Amino acid sequence: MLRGDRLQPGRAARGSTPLAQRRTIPEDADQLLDAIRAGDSGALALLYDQAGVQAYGLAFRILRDAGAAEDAVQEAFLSLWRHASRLDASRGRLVSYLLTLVHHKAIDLARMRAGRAARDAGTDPADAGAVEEDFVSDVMAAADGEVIRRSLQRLPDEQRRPIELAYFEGLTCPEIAEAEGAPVGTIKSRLRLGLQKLRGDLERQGYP
Amino acid sequence: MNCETASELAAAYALGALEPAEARAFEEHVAECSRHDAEMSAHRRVIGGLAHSGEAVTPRAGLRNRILAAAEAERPTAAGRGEPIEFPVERARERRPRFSISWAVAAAFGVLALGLAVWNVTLLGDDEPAPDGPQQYAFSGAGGAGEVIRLPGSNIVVVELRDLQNLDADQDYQVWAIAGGEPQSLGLLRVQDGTAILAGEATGSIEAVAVTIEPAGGSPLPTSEPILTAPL
Ligand SMILES: [Zn+2]
Repeated sequence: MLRGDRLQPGRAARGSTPLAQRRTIPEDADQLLDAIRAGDSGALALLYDQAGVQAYGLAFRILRDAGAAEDAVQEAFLSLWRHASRLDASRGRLVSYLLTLVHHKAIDLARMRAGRAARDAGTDPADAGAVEEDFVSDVMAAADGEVIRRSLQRLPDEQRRPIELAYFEGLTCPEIAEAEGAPVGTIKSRLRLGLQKLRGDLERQGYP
Repeated sequence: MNCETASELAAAYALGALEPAEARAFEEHVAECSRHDAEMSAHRRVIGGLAHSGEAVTPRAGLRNRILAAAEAERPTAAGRGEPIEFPVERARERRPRFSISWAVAAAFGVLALGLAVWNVTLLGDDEPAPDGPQQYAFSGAGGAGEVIRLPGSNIVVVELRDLQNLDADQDYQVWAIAGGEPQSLGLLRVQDGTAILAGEATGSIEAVAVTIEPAGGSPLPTSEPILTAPL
């Protein structure tokens, strides 16, 4: 899990980086972002080596299809590459930001595939404004996946399912209501209760 | 929208699950009302955690190279290619005679291949490639296999290689474009599981693309015979 910001140097640092730009491997997320901002694709390779498996895991969880998941991950990396100059590393961790992008791209693809219109959150989170907000979500990212999965499983089904349908399937409240056979207002309450419970559960385990 | 309703909708909003009209109304309320800030940021933290809840799944090996090639192709001035490598003129002059034959041969192959392609198209009219589509050329040589794809109307190529041998730590694969009979470095290959992709742009019309094994970090000019050559 990506608890620290230390990066594992490896073969990835070598490669087609122009000779004139050869330099030492970035040691932390700030340096990594600086290098990506400077257009150093070797730094993008390092980010992939650090977070590619996790990014793909999220995309695959949403799309359940290798080709589509790869497309979502590629789109997310390219979006980060394009917008790196707008990011502020001190606001949070690059990996969390990357995962936000992966989620966004994967949900877009999933909705498109299902013949549904893009969700309201359909603007690219890499566009100005959303960027800063998304960095707020970094704190909980310190929790590892296994902890979050267990906390989700501890929720009552009627609260867990709407959260999963919203987050992993990209459904809107009326769509969730239809899937669950419950009124829209009830679904909104369950989403709220579910997230509150999830937060409480994680806090009890020492996550901020 | 009143405060009570806004609080009820905050979770659904943070999950992106509100319908557009309701989302706009929520945004208008919280733009004027800071009482929801803490709750929104708490929801966002938990949702940020959900992003980490996927099982780690290893993607297919080609994805990494695909992403890097696309990134390099997208920002050729800042990314893959970087500033043009300065070749010391004296050094180039001193080295050229040693390699002129193989590079000349590579360039000559280019003319031959063009002739063959025209001949092919004439014979197989049905398979005539769309004039605007990317053109593809195969590498030949003992060191692996692969293709060069040239973007139409440009000197930008994408080099895709497979079956590459692992090199010693003090060696790198280097890719060259030959234009006007002279090699220009397109960069070093990042090899994973024997495959690599690299995108680059040459100055001048490319006659051939070649791959050599160079000392780690690459050379200003090739110091060995190409292991793979693709005449364009
Ligand atoms: Zn309010």
